[in-house]
Parts: sequence; structure tokens; C-alpha cells
Amino acid sequence: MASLDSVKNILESNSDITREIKDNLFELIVIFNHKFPNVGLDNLESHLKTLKIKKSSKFFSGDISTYDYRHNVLYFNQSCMNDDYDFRHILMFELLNIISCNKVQVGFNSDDKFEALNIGYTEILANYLVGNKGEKLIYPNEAIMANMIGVVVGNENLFESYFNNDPRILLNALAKAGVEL
Amino acid sequence: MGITFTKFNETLNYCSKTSRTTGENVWNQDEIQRAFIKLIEPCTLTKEQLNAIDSFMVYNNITIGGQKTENPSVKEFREFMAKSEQVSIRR
Repeated sequence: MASLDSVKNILESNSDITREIKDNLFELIVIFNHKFPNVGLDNLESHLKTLKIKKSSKFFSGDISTYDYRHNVLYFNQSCMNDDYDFRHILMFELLNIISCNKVQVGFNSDDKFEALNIGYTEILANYLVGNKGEKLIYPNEAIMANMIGVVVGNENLFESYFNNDPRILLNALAKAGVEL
Repeated sequence: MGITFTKFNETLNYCSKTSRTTGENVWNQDEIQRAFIKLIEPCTLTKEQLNAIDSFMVYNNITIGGQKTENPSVKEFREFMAKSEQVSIRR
């Protein structure tokens, strides 16, 4: 089972990540582990081994960043880099994607069926963990709706669904609340 | 009449993906809030839950004549809250 020490060692061994990003990433990993000590770090450790971080100007969306879980590459949108984003928040957002990725999906977004809510919940978690000091928000609409769904199903069910990569937890909770699926 | 979570979720996915990938903002918070109210119509929610949802509702982002006005979905939700409270009092 992965520990903070083993995660740090794996991160250090990845020569494709700069010193600065390694330090930033590990700081955020410690924050995450402190707040959610019961969430396993095995997926994270596995991804950090070969994670690549790239700047790209070829974004097909206006997103500031994206984690390509199929190829384990974290992209930052070069054309947005001078905009007023809180990059600590952005990095935590993507770190959550990496932690919650089981190589088949991210969070509870199975087969891309729950993309918007998954993005929204990731944003809620990122805000909770490190706040957002930037002028520009990322995915506020999706976060609002994930918050509302969280009220109906119980935040603990969203949490379990996300970190266990199991949308059935979310769906069962919706049905139990009386929502017609 | 309510809507299914499948339909609601599809709307969220469509609005999110289109807005992010095309640059055209098709996310209409008022319409989505209305759809959310329809989604939760069959639910029995506590006062705390209703207040929590109310706190997340976006109140005004409709612009008419340069002025921001209150989203109609907010009024709809307040009516839903009042109805829900009446039902729980009767119980």
C-alpha cells in the first residue's frame, strides 16, 4: 500500500517532471493526504512513475489544463498561462484527477457518462483543499450543480462514488432520495 | 411533471462540453435550475436540504436591457420550498 514516503520516492524518480513541479505536487499531495487520510494513494503512485507534464497550444477547448488519463499526460494550455488563474488550485484540480484515476476512468465518470458532474465535484474538492485565489474560476457552473446533487444524495455518497470509481453509489443514492433515474 | 436523472445529466453534459469545446456558452443556469427543480419534485427533502439548495441557487444572471434580473427558477424553487414545508407540517 502506497504511503507518502513511497509516493515521494516515486515522484523523485520521474525525470520528466521539473524540480519546481515536483515540489509543488508533493506539497499538494501532503495537503490531500492530511485532509483525506483514508483515500488510498496507490493509483497516484502508479501514475506518478510515468506521468508527463506538457505545455500545449493545441487545446481544442478553452480549458486551462487537462489530464489525459489514457496516456497519463497532464497538459497545460500555453495560451492561458498569462491569464489570472490560481495555478496552485489548477494543479490540485488535476492532482485530484490523477488520484481518482484507475486507468479506466476518472472519479465516477464511467464511459464519460457523468463528465459534467465529475468535473464539478473535482472543482468542489479542489476549492475545499486549497481554495482559489485567482480572478478566473474554473468550472463554476458544474460545481454549483454538483453541490446541489450533493445535497440530495449526501456528500458522503458523492465522495465514495468518486474515490471508488463507482457511479452506482451515486445512482443508488439518487434513487433512494426519490429521484427517477 | 418531473424529469429523469438520465435526461438531466445529459443536459449537463451537453452544456458543459459544448461551452468548453466550442467557446459558445450554451450553459443557461436558469434553465438548468428549472430542470433540477423538476428532478427533485418526487423527493422528500428536509428543511436543511432545501435551505442548502437555496444557498447554491444562482439568483441573477439573466440580463435584460443591460440590467441583471432575478432568475425565474429562483421564484419556482421558493414555491417548491413552501409547498414542501406545508406537506411536512401536515405530516
